[in-house]
Amino acid sequence: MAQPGADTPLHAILAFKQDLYHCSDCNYCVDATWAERGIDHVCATIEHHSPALSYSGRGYIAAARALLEGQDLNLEVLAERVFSCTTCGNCEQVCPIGLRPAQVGQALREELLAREVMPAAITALRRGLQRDGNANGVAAAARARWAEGLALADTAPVLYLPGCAAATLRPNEARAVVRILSSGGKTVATLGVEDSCCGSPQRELGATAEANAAATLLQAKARNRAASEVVTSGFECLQIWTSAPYQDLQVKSFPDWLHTQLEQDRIRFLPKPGVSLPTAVACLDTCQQRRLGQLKPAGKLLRDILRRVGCVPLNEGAAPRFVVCCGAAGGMPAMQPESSRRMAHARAAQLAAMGGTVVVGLDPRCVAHVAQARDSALPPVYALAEFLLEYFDVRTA
Amino acid sequence: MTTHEHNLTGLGTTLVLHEPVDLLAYQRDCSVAPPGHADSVVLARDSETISTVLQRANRERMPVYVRGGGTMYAGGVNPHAGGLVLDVSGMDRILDVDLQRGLVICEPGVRFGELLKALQAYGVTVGIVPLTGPAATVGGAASAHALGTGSAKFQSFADEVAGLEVVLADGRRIRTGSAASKVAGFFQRYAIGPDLTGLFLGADATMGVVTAIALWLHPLPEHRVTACFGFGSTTAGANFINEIQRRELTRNIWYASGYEAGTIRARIGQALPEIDLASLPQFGVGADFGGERDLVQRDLRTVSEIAVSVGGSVFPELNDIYFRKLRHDETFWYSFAGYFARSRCAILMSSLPTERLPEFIATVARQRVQRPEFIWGGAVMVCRRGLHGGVMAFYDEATQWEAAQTATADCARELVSIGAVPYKTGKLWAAEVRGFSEYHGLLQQLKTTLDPHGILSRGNLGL
Repeated sequence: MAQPGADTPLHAILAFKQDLYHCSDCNYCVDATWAERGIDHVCATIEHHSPALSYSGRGYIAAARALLEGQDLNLEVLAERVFSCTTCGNCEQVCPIGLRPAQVGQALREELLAREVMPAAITALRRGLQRDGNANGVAAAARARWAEGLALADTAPVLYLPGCAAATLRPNEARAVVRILSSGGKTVATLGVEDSCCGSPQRELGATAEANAAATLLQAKARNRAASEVVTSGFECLQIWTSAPYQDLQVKSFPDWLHTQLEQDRIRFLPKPGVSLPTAVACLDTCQQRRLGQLKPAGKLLRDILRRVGCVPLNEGAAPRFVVCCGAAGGMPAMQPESSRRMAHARAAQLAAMGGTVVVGLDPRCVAHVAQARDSALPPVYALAEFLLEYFDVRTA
Repeated sequence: MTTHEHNLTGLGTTLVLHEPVDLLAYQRDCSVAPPGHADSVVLARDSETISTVLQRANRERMPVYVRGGGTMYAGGVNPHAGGLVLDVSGMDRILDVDLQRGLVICEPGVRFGELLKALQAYGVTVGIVPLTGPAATVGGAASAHALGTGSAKFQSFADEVAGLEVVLADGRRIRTGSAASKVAGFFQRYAIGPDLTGLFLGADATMGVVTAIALWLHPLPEHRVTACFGFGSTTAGANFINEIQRRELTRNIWYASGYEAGTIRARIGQALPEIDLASLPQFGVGADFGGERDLVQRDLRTVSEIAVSVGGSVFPELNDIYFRKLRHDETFWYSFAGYFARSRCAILMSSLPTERLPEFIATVARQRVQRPEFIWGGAVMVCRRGLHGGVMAFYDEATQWEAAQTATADCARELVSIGAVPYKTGKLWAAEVRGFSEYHGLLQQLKTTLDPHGILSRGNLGL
C-alpha cells in the first residue's frame, strides 16, 4: 500500500485547501435535479459507473481533505476512483458556492502521478500519448492523413489545428472544416506532419508537466506559421489555448469563427438542390464548453448557426452549461470502457427522444463517441462542419 | 482491482463498500456534528435488500445508519457508533402517480427536484418541498421532518404523508394507514387505531427504515405573487404572524419567513447604499402567495391590512431586493449560498410558538455578543401554526469546528430555556431531548419494543 510520506508536500492539494474546508456536503455535485435551471442530474460517473460517493466531486473533496489531514489511505484504490473521472466539470457548475471539486480531482491525480501511483490503464494511456501524440491509438505518422488530397499551404492567414479528436477520430470533420475555411478560394495552412497534441489529455490526467511541454511545443510550431487567425476543432484543446501562457496564440473554435463569418455575412449556406433539409436538429452539447468562459457560450453559438442556415434546434431551452458528460473525456474511456459506452448510450437515447432527424455536435470527440454508441433509434450524428457540407453548398460574399 | 464486493451472502449483486477511501464521504451530513466512521456501506436498491441487511445486523448487533442525500444538518446520518451505513439513495423510483386518489408513491431515494419535474407534467405538486430540494431525498424529508415551500400552507412534511412502507429492525416489512390492507392500498393515513405512520416520521430512522412513501398531491398554483412587510419591532412582527395564522390566511401562502434587522440591513444596505439603515424596519416578513388569482389578490389585501393594523407596513424594498429573488426559482433556492460567508454553517432548528418570536430573536442577539468569533444569523419559517426558528452560526471549519460544536450546544440549551422545542433533532439536540424525561422515556420504550438491540441510528433523538 503506497502512502504519502510525512515529508511529501501535497502542493497540488494545498492549492485547494479553501475548497476542502468550505464544502458543506450539500450533495449537489453527486446528483441534483433543478428543472427551472436546466439541471438534470450531474455526474455521469455516479449515474452510469458506480453510485459510490468516492467517484464523485464530494468524494474527491473528502479524500483530498483526508490526505491533507494525514489519514492513511490506500492510494491505489484512490487512484482507481480519481482517474475514472470524466473531468467534465459539471460538479463545479452546480456547486452552489463555487467550489472546484473537479479540479480537486485533478490535483489528486497530480499528487498520485507524482508518487507514480496510477492504474495500469492510465500507464498505458500515457505511453500511448508519448508514443503517438494522441490518446486514440493512431500512429503519429498517420495523424496527418486526414488532409490527404486537400490543397493546404504551409503558411496562410488562417492556420487550422484540428486537434487529436478531429484528426484521428473524425477526419471527415477536419476535412469539412478546411473546405469551409477555404471557401471563396482562401488558402488555409495546417502544420501537416508537424502537427501534434496540445497536451490537453495529459492535463486531464493530472500530468501537468507533460501537458505544458506538449502545449509549448505546439504553440511554438503554430507561431512559426505567423497566421493571423488560428482555428481549432478541438474543444478540449481550447482548455489549453485559453490558459496562461498559451492564450497569446488566440486560438478560436471553429463554431466561433463560423458564427462571426455568418454574422458579418461573409459566408452563406444554401441548401443543396434536391437534398431534403433536416429542419429539426438535436444539439449535442459538449461539457468542455463550460470550462471555457470565453465561449459566450458555445451551445448558444451552435443553435444560432443552425437557425441562420434554416434549421430548428430542438433542445433550444436546454442549459448546455449543465450538460451531463457523454463519457468521452478524462480517464473514463481508458479506465472504464463499458461505463464510458453506457454514458454515450444514455446521451444518444436522450437525443433520440427529442425526435430530430439529425444530431449535430460541437466537439468532434463527443461526436465520435456518441456516434459509436448510436443504435437504430438515433438519427445520424454529425459534427458541425460535416453537417453543413452534407446538406448545404457554401457561398462566400 | 475490485471496486466493490459483490454477492455478499444474501445480498445478491448489491454494492457493498469496505475500502476506507469509499467510506470517507459517508461520515457526515451538512451539520456541525462530528463525523462517524462506518465499517461498510450498503447501497440498497430495494426493500428486500434492506430487510436482509437488517436481519443480519440485528443478529450481529451491528449499528445501522440510514442515509439518503445526506443533506440534513442535525447529524442524523453520521455513523457515530460505527457499523454500517445503509444508503437508500439508489431507491429512486417513483412507483405510482395516482391522480384519482391524489397520491404519489415513491421510494425514499427520490430527489425532490426529480419528483417535482415528474409531477409538473400532471399539473400537480407535493405539499412540502425542502429548500435543499435539488439534492435532498423524500426519505430524508420523512425521517427528519422537512420544512420549506408549503410549510405555511400545510405545516410539516409529516402532515403530507398518507402512509409508509417500513422495514423494522428485525427485517419485517409493514405498511401503515389504509395500506395495511394490500387490497385497499394507500389512500388514508388514519385507519385501524392509532397513527403508526407518525411513529416513523421525524424519527431519524430510529424506529424503522422507510422504504416507500405516499404523499398527497396538490394542484400547482395558477398564480403566484410575493410580498414583504416591515415592522418596527419583533413583537409587532409576531402579532402580525399570529393574526394571519389565527385567521387561516396562510391558506394561499406557500412559503413565508421572517428576517431580523441584521439580515434586512445587510440586504437592503448592500443594494441601496444611500438608504438610512436606521430607518429600516426591525423585522420583516416575506410571503409567497400561490393559488387562484382572485383568492390570492384578496388574501394579499387582507394580509397587508393586518400588517398596517399592527403598526407595520408593506416593505417593497425587501421584496424586490431579497425575497422575490430568493423565490425566483419557484421551489427552492441555493440555501447553501450563505455558507460562503465563513466556511460552513452550524444550524439549529427549533419549533416555537409565534408569540415567542421576540425571545428567539433576542437569543440570537445574545449569541452574537457572547461569541463574536462566529457570524450569527437567525430566521423563522412561518408555518400554518407556530414558527420554526433557525439559528445559524457561520464558522471556519479549519479552525473553529470544535468551538462551533460547543457554541451550538450552548445555544441549544438557551433555546430550550425560552420555550423552543427541538426540531430536526438528529444528534445535535440529543442532550436536550433527554431532558424531556417523560416524553423521552416513552420514546425509549417504543424504541426498545421495535428495535430491542438498538441497532437503528444509535444516538439519534438521544436514543
